[in-house]
Amino acid sequence: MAERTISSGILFGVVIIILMFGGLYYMLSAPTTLNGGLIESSSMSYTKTVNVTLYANALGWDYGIKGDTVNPTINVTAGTRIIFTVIEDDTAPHTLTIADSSKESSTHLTLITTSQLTTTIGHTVVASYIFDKVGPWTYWCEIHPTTMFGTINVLPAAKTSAQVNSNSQLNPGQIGISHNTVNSLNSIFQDLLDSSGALVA
Amino acid sequence: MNQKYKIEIIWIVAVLAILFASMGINFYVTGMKSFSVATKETPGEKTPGTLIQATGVQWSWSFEINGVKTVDNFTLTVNQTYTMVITSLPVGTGQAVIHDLLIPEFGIQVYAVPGQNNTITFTPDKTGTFIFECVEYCGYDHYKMRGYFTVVK
Amino acid sequence: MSTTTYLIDVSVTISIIFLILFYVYYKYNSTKSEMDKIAEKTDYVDTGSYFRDAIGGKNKSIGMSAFLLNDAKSIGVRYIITSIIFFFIAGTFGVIMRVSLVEPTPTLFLNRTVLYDILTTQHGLLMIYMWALGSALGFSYYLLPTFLKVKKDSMGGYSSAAYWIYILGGIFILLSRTSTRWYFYPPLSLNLNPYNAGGFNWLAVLGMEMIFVGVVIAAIVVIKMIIMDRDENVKIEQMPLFAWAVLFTLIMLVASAPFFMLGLAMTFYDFFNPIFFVSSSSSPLSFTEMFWIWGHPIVYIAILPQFGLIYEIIPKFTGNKIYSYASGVLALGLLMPLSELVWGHHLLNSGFGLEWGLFFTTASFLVVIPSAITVFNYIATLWTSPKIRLTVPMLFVVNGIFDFIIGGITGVIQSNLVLNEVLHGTYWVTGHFHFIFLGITTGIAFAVIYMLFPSLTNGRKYNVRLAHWHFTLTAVGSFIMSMGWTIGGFYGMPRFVAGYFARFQAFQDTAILGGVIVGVAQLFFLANIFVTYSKAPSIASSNALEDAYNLPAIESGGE
Repeated sequence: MAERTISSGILFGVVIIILMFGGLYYMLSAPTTLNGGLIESSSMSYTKTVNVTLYANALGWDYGIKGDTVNPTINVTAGTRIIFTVIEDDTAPHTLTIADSSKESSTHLTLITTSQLTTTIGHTVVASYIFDKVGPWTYWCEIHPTTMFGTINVLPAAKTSAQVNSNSQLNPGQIGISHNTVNSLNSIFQDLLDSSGALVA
Repeated sequence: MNQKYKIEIIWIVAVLAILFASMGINFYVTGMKSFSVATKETPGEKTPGTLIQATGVQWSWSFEINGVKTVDNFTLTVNQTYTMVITSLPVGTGQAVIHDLLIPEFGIQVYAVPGQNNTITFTPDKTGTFIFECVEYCGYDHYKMRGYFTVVK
Repeated sequence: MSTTTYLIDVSVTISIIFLILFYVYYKYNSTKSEMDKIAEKTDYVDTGSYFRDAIGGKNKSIGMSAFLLNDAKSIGVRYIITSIIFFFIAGTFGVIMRVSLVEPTPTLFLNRTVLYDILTTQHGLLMIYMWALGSALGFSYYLLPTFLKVKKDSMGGYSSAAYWIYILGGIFILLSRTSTRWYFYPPLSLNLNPYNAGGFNWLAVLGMEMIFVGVVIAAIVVIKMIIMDRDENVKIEQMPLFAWAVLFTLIMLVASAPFFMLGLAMTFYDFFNPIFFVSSSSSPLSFTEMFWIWGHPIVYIAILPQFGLIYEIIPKFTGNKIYSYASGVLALGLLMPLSELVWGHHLLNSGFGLEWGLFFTTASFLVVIPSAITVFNYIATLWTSPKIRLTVPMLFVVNGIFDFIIGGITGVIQSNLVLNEVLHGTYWVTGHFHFIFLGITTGIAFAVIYMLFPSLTNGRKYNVRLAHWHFTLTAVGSFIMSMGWTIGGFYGMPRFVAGYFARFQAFQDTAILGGVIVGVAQLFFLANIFVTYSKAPSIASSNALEDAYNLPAIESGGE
C-alpha cells in the first residue's frame, strides 16, 4: 500500500514536469516558420498576368461548367501573377487557399475567405498571387478539402516555351484554365517569330 | 459592543464618503468642456474643429487631415480643436477586425470597429512628439500598429 | 463499389456498433443496480462512496483511484490534480512569453511573434478556466460534503461526466494553439488568413463550449448539494461562509454563462457560414458585449470562492471567530448582482457614449462597497485576534489580503470613465488583475492545498522550509511583476504586444524579473511534492480545515 502511494505522488510530479515541457514544445512547434505559419502574400514584380476563373462548387472546382472536368490543373511559369476570379456556384461557403506543396499543407495562404465570398450564387471575388517558387502548388477550399482541390504547376521561367508547350500537351485533359497560358505563350512565340523574321530581313 | 458598532459606522461612512466624492469628481470632470469620450456617430456639418479621418488596417494606422493622407504618423497644431473619426475597414472584407487607438499623453482612446464610426473631439495643449498605439489585439503583427505624431506651434 | 452496397455496408456497421453499445449499456446498468443494492444494504445512498469506503478506505489522496470513483471527494481530488497540472503548463507559457519581451523588438521569437500571441492566449485561457475555475470547483467538491455534513453523495455520475467533458475541453484548447486572446472577438477569430495566424480557432471555440457544459453541470450539482443535500442540523443561516461564497458564485456562473455560450455557438456557426457577426447587417461589437456579460462575472467567479476560503482559514490560525458573519454573507451576496451589472466598463471606449459610460462607471464604483466590507471583515478578524500564527497558509492569506487591496484600488481607478481612456488596454489592467489573481486566486488556492496536504498526500507533512521559499518568492515576485506593469501601464504601455516602444523597457524588464521569480517559486512547490513523497506517511490523514467541523475548536494547524 505504502509502496503504491509513494509512486503515485512521484508520478504526479513527473507528469507535471513532462506536461510542462511537452506543452511548451507543442506550442513552440506551431507552424510559424516565418509569417505565422502561412506563406506570404507575394508582392514582388511579375512578368506576366494570367486570368483564371473558378466556379466554387462543393462537388469540385468548375463542377458542371466544362463537362466532366473538375479541379482544373493550372500550368504557369515562375513569376506569373494569376488573377483568380472565384464565382459562387452553389449556396455553400468556400475559401480559396493555396500552398506551395503537392498537397494541402498547414503552411498556406487563404486568398479568399468565407467572409469575402458570400453564399449568394453568382457572387464574384477577385484575388491575385504571384507564383515565384517553382514546383507543384495546391489550391483548395478549406471547407471542402476532399472534393475541391487542384494543382498549380509552376515551371521554371528560364525554359523555352517549347518545354511548356510539350508539358501542356502531356496533359491534354487539363486545358480548362491553361488555354490562357497557351494564349500568352502563343504571343511570346509570335514575338520570337517576328524578331527572327526581322533578323532574316 | 459599542466600540464595535462605532468602528463599523466609521468604516461605512468612510467608504461611502470616498465613493460619493469620487462620483462627484467623476460627474464634474465628465461635464467639463475639455472632456470627450468616444461616441458612436458620424460627424455632420457643424463638426467642431478640423476633421481627422483615422482608419485602422492590419497593421497600420492611416490618417487623413485636410485631404493629406499619412500612414503611422501625422502632425497637429497646438491649441486647435480636432474631431477624430475612427473606423476600421468595412464589414465583410477579409481584413476588417477591431482595433483600438490609444494616445496615452492626451487621454484619448477609441475603438476602431468595422462598419462603425466612432468620434472624439480633443484639443492638444502641449507641443512635442507623442506616441500612439493599437491596444486591441488585431492579429499577427499587432505590435507594429504604433507610431509617433507631432504637435507643432 | 456502388453507392448502394456502400450504403448497406455503412448501415450494417452502424447497427453493429449500436448493438454493442446497447449491450455495454445494459451490462453497465444491471451491474450498477446490483451495486446500488449492495450499497443500500450497508446504508449508503451513493455507490461511489460505498466503494470508496469498502475498497480503498477513505480515499481522498492524490492518485489514480480518484479518477475511477464517483463520490464527491474523489471528484474534488480530480479537479485539484488537473488544476495543478494546468497551472504548471500555463505558468510555463507565462514565464516563457515574459522572457521573450526582454528587448523592445522581438528577439526570442524573431519573425515568429505569433508564438507570443499563442503563449499569451493559452496562458490566459488555461489559467482562468482550468486553474481558477478548476481549483474552485475542486475545493467545493472536496470541502463542502464535510462542511455541510452531506450524507448522500448522489449525482456522482453527472459530476464525473461533467468533469470529463470539462477536462476534454481544456485539452482541446491546449491542442488548438489558438492565438485569438481569451476574448475570441469574431472578425479576428474567424479570419483564418495570414492576417491572423490563428491555429485551429474552431477547436478552441469547441473546447470553450465543452468547458462551459462541464462547468454548468458541475455548478448545478454543487448548488443542489448546498441547498438540498445539507444535513438538517446545518441551517442555511448558519452555513459556513465558504458554502455561501460557492453558492453565490455558482448562481452567478449559471446565470451569466449562457450569454457567452450562445455567442460562441454563433461564432462557431460563423466559421462555416458567416451571418451573425461579420455580415453587412451586424456589428462585431455585439459579440464583445455578449462576451463581457460573461467575461466580467468570470473574474468574480475566480475570486469569490477564495473569499469564502479566507473566511475559513483565518479562524484556524487566529483562534477567534469571524468578526461579522452577517456582513460577510451580505458582502458576498451583494457582489453577485453587482458584478453582473458592470460588464460595460470593459468597452467604455467602443462608442457607448457618455450616459452608458457613467452608468457602468457608477456601477463599478458600487462594487467597492461589498469588496471593502469583505476586506474590513478580514482585517477586523485579524485585529481582534489574541494571537496570529503565521504558518505558510496564513502567510498566503495575509499576502492575499494585501494584494487584493492594491489590486482593488487599481481596479476602481481604471473603471473611472475619465482615467479609463488612458488606462484601458495598457499593462495597468494586467497589473490590476495579476495582483488579484496571484494574491487571491493562486495564493489562497495554495494556502488551501497546504492545509489539505496531509489528506491529499495520505498523511504526509509538507517541507516547511520549501513551503516558506515558495510563499516568499511568489509574494515578492508577483509584487515586483505587477508593480512594474501597473506603473508602466500608467505611462501607456500597451498589453498583449510582442514588441514595444523602447521607452517602456525598464518596466518590462522589471516585470520579467518578477515573472521569473514567480516561476522559480512554483518549482519549490514541485520540489515539495517530491520531497514529501520520498518519505513515508507519518501523521494522521486529517486536515485542519475539515477537522474544525468535527470539533468545536482546533489547535493543530496545517503544519
